[in-house]
Amino acid sequence: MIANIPLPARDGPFEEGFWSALDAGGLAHQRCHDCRRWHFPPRYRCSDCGGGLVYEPVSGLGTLWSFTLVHAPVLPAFAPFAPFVAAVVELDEQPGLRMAGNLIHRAGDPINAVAPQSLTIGMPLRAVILPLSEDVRWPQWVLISKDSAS
Amino acid sequence: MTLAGKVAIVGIGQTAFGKGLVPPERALACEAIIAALDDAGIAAHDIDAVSSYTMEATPDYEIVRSVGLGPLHFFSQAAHGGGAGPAAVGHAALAIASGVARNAVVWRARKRSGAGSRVWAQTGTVIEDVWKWSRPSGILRPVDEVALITRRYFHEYGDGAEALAMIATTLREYAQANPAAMMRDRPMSRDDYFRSRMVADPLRLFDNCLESDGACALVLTSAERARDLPGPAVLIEAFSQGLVPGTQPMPDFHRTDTFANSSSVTAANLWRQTDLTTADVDVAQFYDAFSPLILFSLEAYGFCGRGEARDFILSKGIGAKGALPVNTAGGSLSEAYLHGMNLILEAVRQLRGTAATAIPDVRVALVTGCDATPNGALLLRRPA
Repeated sequence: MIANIPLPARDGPFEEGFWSALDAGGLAHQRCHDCRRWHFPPRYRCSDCGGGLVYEPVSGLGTLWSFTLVHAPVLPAFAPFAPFVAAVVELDEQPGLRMAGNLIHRAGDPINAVAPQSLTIGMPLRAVILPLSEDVRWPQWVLISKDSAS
Repeated sequence: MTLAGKVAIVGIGQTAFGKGLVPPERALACEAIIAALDDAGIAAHDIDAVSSYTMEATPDYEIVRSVGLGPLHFFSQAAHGGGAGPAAVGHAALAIASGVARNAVVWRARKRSGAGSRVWAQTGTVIEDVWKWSRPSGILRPVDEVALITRRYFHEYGDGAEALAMIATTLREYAQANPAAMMRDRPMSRDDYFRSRMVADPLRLFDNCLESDGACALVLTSAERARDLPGPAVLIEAFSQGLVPGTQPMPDFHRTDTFANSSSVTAANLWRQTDLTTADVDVAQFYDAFSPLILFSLEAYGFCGRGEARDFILSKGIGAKGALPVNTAGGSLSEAYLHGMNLILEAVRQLRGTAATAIPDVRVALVTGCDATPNGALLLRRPA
């Protein structure tokens, strides 16, 4: 956990299923009852067809969509880790279903554990649900080596 | 019914641009507005409309009292930070064209040169807005958000480091001719660019806009009343805003096709309103808080195809002798970062023929808002 990290408010509309899945150690996103499209960030109804949305678990597998190496100056909470990689992950469930996250080799790594030279856009990743604080969890993304992916 | 040719920009005014300017932000706003009124030859009490940004710190009634404007019949604020500039002008133009108001002032003032004044640096301990989905993962600043999109663009279309260097050095060269530019007398070579430090890889220090103090203002009236004024008029040919479904300012990576964005929406509706095309545009002022926004905007507004902006910049050129002169006063990278309002003033100067780097015979100018947010654009032209 990063001391004094700015935390996402959990009480936003349409989000309860997202946070409660993380509480239980899983990752879930809204999915349309009718057209079966996945959606994130949370919304009131399917923005493609107007259908109703329900939270369903996702596989936790994805690929690296993009990343940047964040150099100082940054918010004080992140300063001890700069420079660090910040990433966007595309979930395997659907093109465009993307989340921000940090990359690690294994649970417990700091957010600057992964060297940017080792990264390739499109490389496979797997979610590990880790605490941002005592009350909020968020997925970090483990690099899957070719051996362990097969 | 269209807006074309009904409304004119008849006055522009600005303060000095710089770091650590002494007057308070409100005084800078008043100074720029009074300069624009003098330039237009319109009395303060004849102004009955004002428009600015939602991020503008000075309330409209303070401006009205301080400058002696009004009474007002229309007051508006345009949303979405750097996306707001053309919309602030466009809202006032719509009020004039529809007869709700007669004469309008549009302004933007900022004191942004202090590090603590940066919006991202004021992130609280709990994030309630859309940044809750990205900031806890270390995507902290606008530059980080644009860097992520830029790396993806490079992945899809090829490395663009040389094109970004060309943007930064070209804008710096324009600034050498502009007495108002903060980066005048500070020329930059390609080597200087590549020696600058990384801020959010692949974006370097010189891919970032300046942090500036200053103010800009414009005066608008009907094209009909403009004919009785002493100075030259610049006509609004078309205006649109654009907000693409699924957008999220500014970590805008939640849509399947990231590069079909709000600029594409604005551009389609802008060109729909006019017979003019990209071939008629003599100068463009693209919102450039970060250099890659110029790449994305060239494509969104149709000056080249998807993925072709790097080649456009390197082979056709955005300098004074290039195919499309861009941000001819130095832009946000090298003139000043007045949240894009200084870009609108430069378009007016080009159409008047009074720009520091005056492009010959400018008849049509395009001005755009921030590519990474909901935005807007203005197509401006000289009277026939």
